[in-house]
Amino acid sequence: MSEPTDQKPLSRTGGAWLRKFRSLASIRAAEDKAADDSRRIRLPDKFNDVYLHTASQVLVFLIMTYAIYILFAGHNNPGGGFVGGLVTATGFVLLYLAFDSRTVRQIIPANFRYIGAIGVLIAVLTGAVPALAGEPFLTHRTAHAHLPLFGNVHLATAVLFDVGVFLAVLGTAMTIISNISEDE
Amino acid sequence: MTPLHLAILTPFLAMPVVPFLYKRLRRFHTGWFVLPVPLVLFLYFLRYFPLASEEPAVFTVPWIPRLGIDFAVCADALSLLFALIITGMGTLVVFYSIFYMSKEREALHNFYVYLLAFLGAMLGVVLSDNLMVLYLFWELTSFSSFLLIAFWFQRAKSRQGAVKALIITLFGGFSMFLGFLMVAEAAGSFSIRHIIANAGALKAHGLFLPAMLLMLLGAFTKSAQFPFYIWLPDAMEAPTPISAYLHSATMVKAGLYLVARLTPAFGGGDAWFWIITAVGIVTLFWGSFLAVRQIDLKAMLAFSTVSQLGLIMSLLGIASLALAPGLSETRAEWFAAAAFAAVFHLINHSVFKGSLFMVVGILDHELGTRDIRKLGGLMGVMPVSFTLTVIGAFSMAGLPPFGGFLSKEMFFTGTLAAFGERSWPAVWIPALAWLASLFTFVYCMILVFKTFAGQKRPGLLDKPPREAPVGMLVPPAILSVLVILFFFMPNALSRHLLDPAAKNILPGLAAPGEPLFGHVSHWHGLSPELAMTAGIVVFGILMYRHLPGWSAVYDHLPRKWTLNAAFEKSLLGLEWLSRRLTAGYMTGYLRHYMSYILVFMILVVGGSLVALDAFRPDLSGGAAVEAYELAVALCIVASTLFLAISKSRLTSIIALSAVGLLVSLYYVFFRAPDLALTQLVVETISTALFLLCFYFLPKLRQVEVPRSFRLTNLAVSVGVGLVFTLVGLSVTGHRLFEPISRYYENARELAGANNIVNAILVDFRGFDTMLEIVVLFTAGIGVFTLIRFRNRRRHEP
Repeated sequence: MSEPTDQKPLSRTGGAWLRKFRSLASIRAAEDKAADDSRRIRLPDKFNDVYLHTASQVLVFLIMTYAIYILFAGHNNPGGGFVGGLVTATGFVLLYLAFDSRTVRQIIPANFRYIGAIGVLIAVLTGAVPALAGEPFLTHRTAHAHLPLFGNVHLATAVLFDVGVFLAVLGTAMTIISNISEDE
Repeated sequence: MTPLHLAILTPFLAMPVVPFLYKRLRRFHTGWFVLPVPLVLFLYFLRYFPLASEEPAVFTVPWIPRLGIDFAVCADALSLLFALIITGMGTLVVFYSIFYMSKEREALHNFYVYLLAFLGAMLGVVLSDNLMVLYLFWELTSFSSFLLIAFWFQRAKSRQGAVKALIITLFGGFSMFLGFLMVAEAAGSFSIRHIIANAGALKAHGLFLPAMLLMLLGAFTKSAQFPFYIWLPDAMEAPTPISAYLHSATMVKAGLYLVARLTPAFGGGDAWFWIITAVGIVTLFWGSFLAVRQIDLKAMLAFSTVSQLGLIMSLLGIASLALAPGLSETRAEWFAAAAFAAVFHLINHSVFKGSLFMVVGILDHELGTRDIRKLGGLMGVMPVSFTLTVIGAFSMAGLPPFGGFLSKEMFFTGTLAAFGERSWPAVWIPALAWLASLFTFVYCMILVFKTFAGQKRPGLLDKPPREAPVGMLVPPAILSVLVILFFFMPNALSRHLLDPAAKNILPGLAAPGEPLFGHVSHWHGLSPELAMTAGIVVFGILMYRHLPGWSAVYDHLPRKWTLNAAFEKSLLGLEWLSRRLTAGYMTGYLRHYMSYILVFMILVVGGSLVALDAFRPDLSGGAAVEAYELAVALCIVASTLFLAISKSRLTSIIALSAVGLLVSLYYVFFRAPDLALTQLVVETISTALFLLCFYFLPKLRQVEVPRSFRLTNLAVSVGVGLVFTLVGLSVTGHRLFEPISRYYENARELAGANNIVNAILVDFRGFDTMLEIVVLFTAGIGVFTLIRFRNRRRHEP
């Protein structure tokens, strides 16, 4: 059988007589196999791109820093847990694009499902704690504190809730992406 | 929270402890740790005795006050009678199960957890004053019954029996729920006491009849009345202690409790009397008729339970006549006697049937079979079991000197009274009742003599016959003693428990402090009731003697047109229908589902736009369109068009993300930095996801698609575009309410945040966000499992 490398489906290259005698299902199966073969040729399991490697090593840190910034900036400036989580996820996606998944898992040895679950748990607990104290569910408090190194800081339990959102979004997005990318 | 609430909740509180005790202390039978729960509750309810004859104690804990749902409990004599049966039988059954259930082989932690759940739920049913709370506990009893029937879930028959019981009782329970809602609508409250006080308003309301029918459906399914009884014989797959407890002494009486409890609210009318009496009498006859032909002792007891439940049900129906308007005083007294008889027979049945089930459990346990054809001549080997069976069975047959004799006589009085009141249209009531009692007598004789008398057949038994251990004999012995005590001292029982309970069924008939029903006497002179009993004994013995001669009757019963077959057929039909329905639209193609969603959206949104005449474009307040905004719009249109005609997936994805990124530019123009930021990141992530999935998809092929398919797609896409354009244009033309954004502008003071968007997300609408991330996370786990599961399937063929 000829190796199909162009966009044309097998049923056309195979000739008219082939179409006559083969059932539709077997043609489909053959096509899938051909697609598998062609993919292996196009994308090797491990590929090296020096530019991407070098650039992503720097960029990932910038992205992460920015993500953390917008997570905490969200209280008073544009940003918040949801965006922060997604930006972090883009940073990880960049890693996945630049390196293979095994390397990425060595770099980030965390289970993303746990991260998502912890995030949901934090969000629920920030709601439940005031409820246990007799206040309405999800009552937020704010306070000002003087911390060394940071100076006068405005603290809010709403930020804690946002951290939960951050982790939940990050964990869910990465669970989906890493699973699809590692799928055989 | 009062002691009475705590009493209901105690079994639930004990539930989580049981598995730990089972795991840690394997040397002891877990039943010993569970035993104190029903025992303490029994003693606690005994303490309420003096209260029973006085004003009932009501305690309320608010639960959902806005809907009128309170956890209100009320301990009057009727509730107390049931609570005593539940906890008393519970104690004996747990004690019995310690010897019946092997601690080595059985999953005792599950068994006792389910049993405790049932105990608490059943107490909740009989003590709740609020219909909604009652319903909650009612369904909980169904579920615990389901779990207990399927306790030996390795057996297919157990699972089938459990599912059947669950389907039928839940069907009834749900009807009952609807009935309750109607009752609350008509009487203005969920509180049973309130409803009874407002009975006049309820009876005058248009929803009275449907509410009554739906409510009775719940009671009939739960109490295994004709034609819903079919689940009870199959429920006998449960371990015998469970059959003795749930399926004869307590749970199946919940329907009777409900009917008795609501008689003051519903009773007095013709419909209530005829429906309940007819269903009860038919169930009584049919159950006893079918019980005679059973060869499995437990199945025989199951049908006998069905039959006896019908007896009590019909008594409750007859008793309701006492509330009919314009009744002479002597007649009212007769029907009051029927209410008394119902309560009396209820407790009698719990006692003798519980005992009989336990004895059959002993036979099963010691001999390995319950098949009558294999049993016989056990009188000498198992003398105690034999004595216990005689006491239980003769009480059930209505013979002196056992408690059943008294209540059976009173039952005949009741049926004759109904005949006297309604004359010839009701003549079948005493007739069928007598016939049914005849069959009852026959199967009681079968139960005693086929098992214990006659020839020994040791060859047919799995184990050599021997008497059971003392522990298993104690609970049925206690019950048998009660059977005899009830005969000799009925008035002590009547004064303290039965008469006050009957008064709760027919309130207002007797003055406070005066008994409803005078004196229970053993000898009434040569009354018609005595003649009926004598007739039963004479004909019963004849029929038992000539059993092979007439049992050919059963061969003429239709085999194909049974209720069980109808049940199976209707289930299969439902399955077939739903499969056909689903197969009709679930094609497996995402593009079909997309078009369903979009067409639905066009119809609803576009339809309401037309129907409400809502299209009123008002562009007067708009700002001038800048040239760069126009340019971005053109770019969006261009990339969308490119998306439609592109031939490769990669270019499609790029065009799609171009659309998304260009839209985020608008957010920048209109000063919504949060939205712009989110849109940008979402676009980035989804493009990455697309590329990942793209890697797995087969190549885009040039396939000839039918013109009709293309036209449908075109119509759908044009429709969506049109509808949204129109909606967008008309949004500014309407202002139905004050804008709520004013409120959020105070985010600084209210939430301590300068970013309004973020304050809305985490504070003002924080609950939404919390549930959203829960949904998001659940979806993520869903994707994870789908991918993992598929892989495992592929690797492990």
